[in-house]
Amino acid sequence: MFRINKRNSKFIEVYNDYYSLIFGSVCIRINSVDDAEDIAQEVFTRFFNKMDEVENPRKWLLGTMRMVLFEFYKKKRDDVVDIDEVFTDVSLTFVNGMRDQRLIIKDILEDDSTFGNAQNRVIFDLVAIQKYTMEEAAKELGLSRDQIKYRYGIVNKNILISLKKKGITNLEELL
Amino acid sequence: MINEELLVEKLLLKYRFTEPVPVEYRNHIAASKRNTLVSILKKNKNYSITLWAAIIVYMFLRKLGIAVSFLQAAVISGVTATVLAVTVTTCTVKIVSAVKERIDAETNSIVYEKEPAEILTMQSGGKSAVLMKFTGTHDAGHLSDSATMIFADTLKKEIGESNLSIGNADTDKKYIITGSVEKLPDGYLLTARVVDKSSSVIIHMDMKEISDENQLNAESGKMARKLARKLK
Repeated sequence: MFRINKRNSKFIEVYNDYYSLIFGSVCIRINSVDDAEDIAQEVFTRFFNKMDEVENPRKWLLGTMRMVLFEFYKKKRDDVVDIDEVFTDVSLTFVNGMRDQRLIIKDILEDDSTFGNAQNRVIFDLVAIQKYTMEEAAKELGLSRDQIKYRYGIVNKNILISLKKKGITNLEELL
Repeated sequence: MINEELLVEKLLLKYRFTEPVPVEYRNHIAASKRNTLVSILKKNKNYSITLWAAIIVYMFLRKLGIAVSFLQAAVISGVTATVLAVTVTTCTVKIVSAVKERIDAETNSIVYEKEPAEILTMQSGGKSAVLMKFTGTHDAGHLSDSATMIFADTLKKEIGESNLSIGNADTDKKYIITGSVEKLPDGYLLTARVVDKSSSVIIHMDMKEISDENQLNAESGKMARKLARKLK
């Protein structure tokens, strides 16, 4: 009778945390809100059917997003857009030492231990990467602004500590 | 702390990790969140009214900054729905009861209005009568008054004092008793009548020639007793 079970509960919580991130990522790649909405919906529909096998929802959702985006371009825009350009590895635009430095930072950002927990990572993604204000991020994630600010501060501190561990003691060198 | 944040932000910007989402997109994303979720659940045939209620509560609380799990939100929405249902049911029952009581009260008040009529009927039934003062010719003198008094005393004994009124026809008594004493050349004529008040029909009439006052007293008593027996 009641369809509120653990599976639905898990899905809705993941959806609530990652919907803005996925939708935003798609938006800035295709510059169409309507298409982005369809793609985000497709990504979460696939997640709904596969979530029992998923260990890391963020990685799975971002990976599936890339796949659905490829399918989208292949189906609709293959005559106007070079699909490879959509997902060009930004690091390739850097050369020599700067490329190495970028790879170091990328490693730190991909290390789960930098963030402590999945929600801190979402906060960082929204505020630092997608440039949400702290108020907006708070609304999206159901937290207070102070909680966002506190957690965001902890993540930044962890990033700097990780950089030092990687041998980068003087940040001015990177900047 | 702020310096650390600025440093990290500069790093992200310089090494092109940022992917800023324009404000208009962010607004659209926030606005479409619930509808898209509903679409996904419907698409997967996993949508129900209970889930809908739980989603509303969950997203509302999260927007307020209250960190609840979805299951907690489902419990809250369930409890809220139950309380609401109980409240609505209670109110409905109370309203129905109040209306019913009012109808009953109105029905009862109609009965109360009828009861006096029934009592009236009951009072006017049986041996109840009004005795009007006997009339008489001028030369009959006080004999008509004497006859009235004898009739009154005798009828009180026969039908009961409460069943007899004297002199007032506007009562609830069933019969009206009238009479007269008229002077004849060699005596008097005593007459008495019983009239049904509701139909104005004379149901009994008696008359007797008497010679003097003594006989009048005796005959008045006899006539009154006879008349009382005619009352139904």
